Amino acid sequence: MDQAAGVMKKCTLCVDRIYNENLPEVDRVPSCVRTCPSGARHFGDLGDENSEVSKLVLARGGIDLMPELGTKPINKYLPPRPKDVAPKFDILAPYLEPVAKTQKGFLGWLDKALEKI
Amino acid sequence: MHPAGSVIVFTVASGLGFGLLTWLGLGLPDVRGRGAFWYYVLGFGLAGGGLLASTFHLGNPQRFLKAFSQWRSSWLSREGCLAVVSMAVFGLFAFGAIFMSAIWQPLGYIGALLAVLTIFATSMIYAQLKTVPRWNHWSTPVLFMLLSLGGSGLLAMQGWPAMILLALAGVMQIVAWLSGDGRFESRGTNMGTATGLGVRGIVRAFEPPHTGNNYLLKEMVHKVGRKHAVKLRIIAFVLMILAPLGLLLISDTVLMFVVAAILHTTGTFAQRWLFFAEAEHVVGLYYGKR
Repeated sequence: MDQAAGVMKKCTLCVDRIYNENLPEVDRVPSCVRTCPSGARHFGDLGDENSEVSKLVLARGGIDLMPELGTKPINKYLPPRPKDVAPKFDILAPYLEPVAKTQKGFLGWLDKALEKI
Repeated sequence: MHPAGSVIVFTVASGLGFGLLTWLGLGLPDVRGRGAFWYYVLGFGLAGGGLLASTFHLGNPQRFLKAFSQWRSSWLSREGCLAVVSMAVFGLFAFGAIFMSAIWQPLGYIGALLAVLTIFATSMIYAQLKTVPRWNHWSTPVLFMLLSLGGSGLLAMQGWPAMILLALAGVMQIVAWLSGDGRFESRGTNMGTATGLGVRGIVRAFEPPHTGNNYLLKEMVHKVGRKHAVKLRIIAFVLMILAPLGLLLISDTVLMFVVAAILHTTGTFAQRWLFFAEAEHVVGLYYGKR
């Protein structure tokens, strides 16, 4: 509700951008989608089964908010991905490995000689 | 919901006005000439005044004509169209009754039907909203119609019919209050379904989405005055139903009808105020509020 103008206003999905052939292809999406720093927003035609967003919704299990109201919203929310588990991994271990497995020189000869006794 | 004065005046006044026109259209009372004039002044005054009051709720009242064009999807628009058509029919009917002392009865029946449909359309503006569970129930239109016809029966001085309608309205009001109290919970809409995260655990609001107020919070999440809801319910019920019934049981003089109608209208204002103040829109869930 625009209280100064006294009219309801609604998102136009940046209609001036999405059909603008003067813009590069990559910019023909709403500004909020283009500038979203985490890439959380996507734009496309959910009515078209083969569009990128439809595939994304199918792959990630997109949902409606308040589905029990049956309002058939035209946007879908992608649920959070399952939390990933960091692999158990010692960052210094490779550097602490002995570089030379077998001794050389006098100590090497002594080691071999003692093994043989 | 925010109980806006203009909408309360609109629903109460146009309800009574169209109710009175319905009675007149049915020939109850059968008034002609000068007597009819004042009846129709009251009927058209209430109905038209109510509609006029409703335009004050618009952001741009000068654009009210646009509202008539959306009748295919909007109950508000249908209500406006029906109101204009029924008032036009009654204009003709009243002309006959006042200036020619002629009752064109078929026209009266058509007008009465249109007036009842207008009241129904008014109530459906509220009853259709799935997002307001308290209103989204068959009791809303039934209660609106019973109250309009019962209350205007007092204006039309129809003793027993008005009393029966008011008693039924009283029963329906209790049904509406009692069944409405738990409907928000029973519809199953909560923060879990609002965010889609309910299947993962219990969702609670960590912080409000923004620190300031906005249109949604002002209009849909208006919480002021719910504190006194029980007291107001008693006041509304006594004034709206019990007092008029009691007065008319004592005697049915003109004075009694006038006093009963005034009490009933006052009670209806309180009832309508509560109707809005107690209604909770699901959008409040996004703000952690009801």
